[in-house]
Amino acid sequence: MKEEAKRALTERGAACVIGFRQGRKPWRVTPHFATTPEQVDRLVWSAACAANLATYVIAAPKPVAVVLKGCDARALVTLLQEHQVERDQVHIIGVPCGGMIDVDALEPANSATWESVTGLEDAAGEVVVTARGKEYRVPREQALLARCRTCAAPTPGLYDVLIAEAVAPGSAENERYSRVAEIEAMDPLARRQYWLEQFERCVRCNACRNVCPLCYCRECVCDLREPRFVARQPNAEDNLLFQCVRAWHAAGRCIDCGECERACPMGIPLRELGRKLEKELRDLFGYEAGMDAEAPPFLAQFAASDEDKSVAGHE
Amino acid sequence: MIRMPDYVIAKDKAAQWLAKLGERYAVCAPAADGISFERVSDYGAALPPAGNTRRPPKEMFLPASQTLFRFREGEQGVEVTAQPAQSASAQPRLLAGVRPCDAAALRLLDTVFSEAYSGYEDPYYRAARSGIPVISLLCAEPLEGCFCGDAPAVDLASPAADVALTDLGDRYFAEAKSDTGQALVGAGGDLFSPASDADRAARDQAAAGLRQLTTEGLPLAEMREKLRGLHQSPLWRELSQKCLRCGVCSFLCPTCHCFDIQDEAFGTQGYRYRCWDTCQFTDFTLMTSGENPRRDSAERLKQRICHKLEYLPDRTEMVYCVGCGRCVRLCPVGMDVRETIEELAGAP
Repeated sequence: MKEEAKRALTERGAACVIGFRQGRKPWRVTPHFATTPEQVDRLVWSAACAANLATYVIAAPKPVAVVLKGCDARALVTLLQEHQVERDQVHIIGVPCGGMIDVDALEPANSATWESVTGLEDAAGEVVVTARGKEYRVPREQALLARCRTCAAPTPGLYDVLIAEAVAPGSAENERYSRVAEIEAMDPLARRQYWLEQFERCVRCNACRNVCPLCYCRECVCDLREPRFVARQPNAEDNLLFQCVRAWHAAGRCIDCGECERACPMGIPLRELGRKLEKELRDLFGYEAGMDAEAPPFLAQFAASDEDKSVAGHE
Repeated sequence: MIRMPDYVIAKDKAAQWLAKLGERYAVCAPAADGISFERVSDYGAALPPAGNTRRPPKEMFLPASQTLFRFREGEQGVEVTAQPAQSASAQPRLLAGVRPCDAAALRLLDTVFSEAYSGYEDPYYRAARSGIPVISLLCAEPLEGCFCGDAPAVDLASPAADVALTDLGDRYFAEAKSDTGQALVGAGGDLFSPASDADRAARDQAAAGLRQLTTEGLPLAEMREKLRGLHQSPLWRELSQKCLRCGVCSFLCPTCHCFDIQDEAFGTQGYRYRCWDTCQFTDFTLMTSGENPRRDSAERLKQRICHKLEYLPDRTEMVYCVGCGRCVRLCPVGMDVRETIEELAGAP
């Protein structure tokens, strides 16, 4: 990765390479912007690199090189489809991804979030946590972020260089919509109650929106004061409205990188909203976002064969 | 000053004590989901040995959203009805299981909302806060990202509370630190017994142990002078490059206290409220002219750091970071305020 990153700076003329560097602990990482070969030497890759770096691409000085996993690359595909960035301005260092570990949720006994953790090892089939001089072993599948267990595209479909062998999707892909189905099965009033209870906790920190690679509006409709659509104060109703606006604006665009849910400090299951729309699109139109950079955006497509007369009438 | 006596209470008696306090107070403690302080239903689970709520207890006194008054267009013009912070009949709250960092943060908030600070005492904060006792509990172990050992405002052996509890294994050491605290302990009657010198030594040892685990050597008090020379530093840009300008670090900070004021109107009536706001949001400093003096992440990071470590220390002689580690743990992109401070402290 470092070699490719240096090559991007020296041979491809990249102004900056966006990757990860180690944080305060070996199992913590943070985005890193390298502009010199020395800074490239700090780049790391591990199963803690959950953040979607495509989020930084629009604002980055161009041309830019960026390290992208499978899901991140799908987000970039959407940005390309929407002409937010031009393909020749982004050098993609693709990384096939074996799934990211949810360090903060690691049991036993929350040991991973505690200062007493002294080691965290990502072995082939297991995650080994050392805390208080004791070793805890968690099957890797269980240690993954929920989004990674059902990932359909762990290997970037779009890249300039791929720095390892492609990874096949996991076996749990068919469970992708199981939670959505549970929520769909609720009585409408119970479902509304479910979401209102979830959004009671929301403090409207906007982390979900700001971390989203596809929420790139310069001014969010939910921030507008005149006219005001969503109240500034956090309350369950307006919080839910805010999130519904986001979900609808991401329909046909959201690639379920799950960053909104990972970023939420209140643990609100935000992915389910996006996945509901994703499921509808799959069922109705056989469309999956972020797969084809050459295709027009979903909402800019129509088929003359569409059974909806209003569409067919424009043939 | 007359030294208040110190006490011990057996751990399995603490629930009885809290239940007694519950007759007079609405006892609030860290909820089981770890999100916030809530009214306790199970007194036996009210004092978790370690960990901290994601939402700091400041929201008990400065809620995320709070109605200030209601208004309506009446026959005689606009009628305004004050909205009391707490209804008069409600039981007063009592906070239990407050961590030393958060207890210190409440004292810091008391200062900024006081008349001595600004010449104006915030009536809403005062109404919610005055007479509300705080029972602190030292953490059995820190969370990842905790650095309270470096925070000048945090006294781990004797935190800023009415009663300061320290876990001594089978019992709690209880220091009554105010008249209110003395009364709270008194309400427990013979559940408490006087502490011995050995108990005091054990308390000091527990505090020293935690201090050792949470001390990183960050020069929090020295930053005040250091930052004065760094306002034009290019470091702000570099350090803030990955910041996504969300409100996690400030909304969940126990000492951040900025708020916005807005109206909600429906036809001829409505209400005015205040809600948390943050210097990290783009429109925090946006003026009606369209001018925004803090244009980018660099300016906003500078505001957050300097406000806590320079401007407020200048005005109050206190450092407004208590090392609770929430911003470290909850930042979606791993921005670590400890790294930020180290980088700034080491700047030429």
